[in-house]
Amino acid sequence: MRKYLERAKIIRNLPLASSIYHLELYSPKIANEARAGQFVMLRVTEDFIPLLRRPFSLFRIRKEEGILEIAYKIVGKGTGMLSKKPEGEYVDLLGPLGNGFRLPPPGTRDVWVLAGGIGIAALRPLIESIKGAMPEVNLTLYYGVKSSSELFSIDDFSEMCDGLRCSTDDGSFGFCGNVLGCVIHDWETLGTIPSYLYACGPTVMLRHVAQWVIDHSIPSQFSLESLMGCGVGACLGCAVPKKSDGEPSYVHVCFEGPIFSPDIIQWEKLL
Amino acid sequence: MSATLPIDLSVNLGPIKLKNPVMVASGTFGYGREYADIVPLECLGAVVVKGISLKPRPGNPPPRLVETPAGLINAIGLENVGIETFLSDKLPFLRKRKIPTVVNIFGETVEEYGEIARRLDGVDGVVALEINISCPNVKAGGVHFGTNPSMASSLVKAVRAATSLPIITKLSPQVTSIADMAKAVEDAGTDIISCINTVPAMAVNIYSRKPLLGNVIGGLSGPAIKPIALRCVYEVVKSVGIPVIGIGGIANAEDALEFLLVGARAVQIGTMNFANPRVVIDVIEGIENFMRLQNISKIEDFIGTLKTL
Ligand SMILES: Cc1cc2nc3c(=O)[nH]c(=O)nc-3n(C[C@H](O)[C@H](O)[C@H](O)COP(=O)(O)OP(=O)(O)OC[C@H]3O[C@@H](n4cnc5c(N)ncnc54)[C@H](O)[C@@H]3O)c2cc1C
Ligand SMILES: Cc1cc2nc3c(=O)[nH]c(=O)nc-3n(C[C@H](O)[C@H](O)[C@H](O)COP(=O)(O)O)c2cc1C
Ligand code: FES
Repeated sequence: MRKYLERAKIIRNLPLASSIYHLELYSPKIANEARAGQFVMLRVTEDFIPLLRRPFSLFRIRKEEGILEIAYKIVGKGTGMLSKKPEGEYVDLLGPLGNGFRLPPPGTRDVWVLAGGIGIAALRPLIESIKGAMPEVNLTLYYGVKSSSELFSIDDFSEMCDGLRCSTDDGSFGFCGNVLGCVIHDWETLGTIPSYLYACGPTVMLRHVAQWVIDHSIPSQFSLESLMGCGVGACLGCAVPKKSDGEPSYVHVCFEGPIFSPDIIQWEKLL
Repeated sequence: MSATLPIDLSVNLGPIKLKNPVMVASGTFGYGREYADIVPLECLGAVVVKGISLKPRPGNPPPRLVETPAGLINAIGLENVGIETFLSDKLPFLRKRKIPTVVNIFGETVEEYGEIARRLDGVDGVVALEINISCPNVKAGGVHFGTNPSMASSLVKAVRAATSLPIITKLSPQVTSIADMAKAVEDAGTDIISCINTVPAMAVNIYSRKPLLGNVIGGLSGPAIKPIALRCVYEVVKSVGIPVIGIGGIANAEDALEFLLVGARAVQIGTMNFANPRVVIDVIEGIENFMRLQNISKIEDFIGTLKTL
C-alpha cells in the first residue's frame, strides 16, 4: 500500500452536530488507496502553531469520485482552526495510514459495532464494507454520545445497519447511559451475544468494553488513539503499552494499528 | 544573473563528500523506508538513521510527545531494534538504493559504544557513525556523557579505536561551554561535529497536576530551538578546525542557509519532517534558487561567510 502527500481541495466544511464538523475533500490518490479504519494526517496550517499534523479517520471513502469525508470534533487549537477553513481552500494530507479493519471471518452471524462519540467516524466505512462483502451478516450499531445534540447521520446508519441502538449519557435520546451500559442491558434482557465485535471511542470506553469482550471471549477489533508525531512509523511517539510478562513492551498506533485486538493491550496502563 | 548558471551543491565534510548539504536527523526519519513513498531518498545528502544500541530497547512509557508553541518535546527513550536487526532488516533497504547512510549510535557504557562501532566497521553502505553522547553513563551514576568533556573525550577515543569509519560526534546544547566540549571531542579524534541534540525540557498539566510526559523530562526540538542551535553552531565553528553539521529547528531553505552562513558545512532536518515530509526536498530546491538569485555557483563559496557588524 502506497502513501501519498496530497494537496486536497475543501469541497465542504460545515457543522454536522454540536461541535462536530463534516469535511469533504477532493483527494483522489488517497481515496483510491484507502481502506476502512485507516486515517490521514492533516496539516492544519503551514505556520508553526500548531506544529504537528492532526490524525483523522476516514468517515467516507468515495473512490470513484476521488472524495474523502472526515467527521471531526472541535477539541482544541488544530480542530478549531480547521473548522474555519472555507470551501475552495486546500489542505495538505498524508495518507492513507495505518492497518485498517479486517472483515469478520467467513460465516460470522451477528456483528456488533460500538461507537463512542466521534469514534463513529472510523466505523462508517467498516459498516459499509461488511454489508458490501457479507450481506448475510446481522449487524447492530451501538452508538453512544453524551447528549442527543451530538448524534448525527442517524437515518443513514439505520438504513445501513440491521439494528441501531442509540444511547445518551443524559437520557435525551435512546437508552439512558453509555454504550457499554446499553450493550449489557441488551445482552441481559435479550440474552443475545455477538459472534464478532468492533469498537471505537474514548480510551475509557474502550478499556471497559475490552474487559467485557475478554470476559465473554468475543473476538473483536478496536480502533485506538494516541498522540502522533509523524503518523508513518518514523518517530515512535505513538507507543501504547502491550501486555508482556517480562520487560515493558509497546505497540505503535500509527503503523501497527490503529486497529488492534483488545487482548494484546495493557489497558490499565493506558491513560 | 543567468538562469543556466551551473549550481554545485556538493560539500566536503572532512573524509566525506556529500552531493548536497541536506540530511535528515536521527530519530525523525526512521530507517528511511518510512518516508520512501513521499521523499525521493536519492536526492538527500545523507540519511541519519534512528539511534542504534547493542540490544533492542523498548523505550519510555507513554505519553512520549508533547507539542509546544513551534516545538515538540519528545521522550521516546531511544527505542530501537538493536544492531542485529538493524543490519539484517533495516540497512539493506538503504544500501540497495545506494543512499549514503549515517548510523547514529549510543550505549550505556564506554565499552558499549566501542562494541557497536566495531560491529559497524567496514559495513557496506555506512558512510559514517554519528555518536549520540547525550546519554546517561550508567557506570558513572547516570551522568550524561555529553555534559562532561573528559567523559565525552573517552567515548570518542573508544569509538575511534574501534572503527576506521568517519566519526561525527553529536553535541548537546546542555553544557556550560559548547566550545570547550567541541575542542575536547576534536582532540579525541572525531572527524566531524554535529549540533545540536534536543534541549532538555518539560511540560505539566495544572488540572491533573501531572507531567505530560511518561518520562517527566524530554527534549525540545523544532523551530522553537533554532536560535539556540544557531548560536551553538556559531560558537563551535569558531573553536574547532573540523567540519560542523548544523541541526535544530530548520524548517525551510532560509533556515538552512543561516546555518551554512555561520559556518556549518551541512545541515540535518528533524522535527519538520513530521509537519512537512517533503521539507528536505523543498530546502534543497530553495538553496539552489537562492544561489541562482545571488549568483553563487558553488555552495562552498557561501559557507562561513558571515560578516562582522
Ligand atoms: C488514528 C486517529 C484517528 C482519529 N480520528 C478522528 C476523527 O475521525 N475525528 C475526530 O474528531 N478526531 C479524531 N482523532 C482525534 C484527533 O486527532 C484529535 O482530536 C486532534 O488531533 C486534536 O487536535 P487539536 O489541535 O484540536 O487539539 P489539541 O489542542 O492538540 O488538544 C486539545 C485536547 O484534545 C486532546 N487530544 C489531542 N490529540 C488527541 C488525540 N489524538 N486523541 C484524543 N485526544 C486528543 C488533548 O489531550 C487535549 O485535551 C483521531 C486520532 C487518532 C490518533
Ligand atoms: C522524536 C525524536 C527522536 C529523536 N531521536 C534521536 C536519536 O535517536 N538520536 C539522536 O542523536 N538524536 C535524536 N533526536 C534529535 C534530533 O536528531 C535533532 O538533533 C533534534 O531534534 C533537533 O533538530 P530539529 O529541531 O530539526 O528536530 C530525536 C528527535 C526527535 C524529535
Ligand atoms: S506517530 Fe510517529 S511512529 Fe507513530
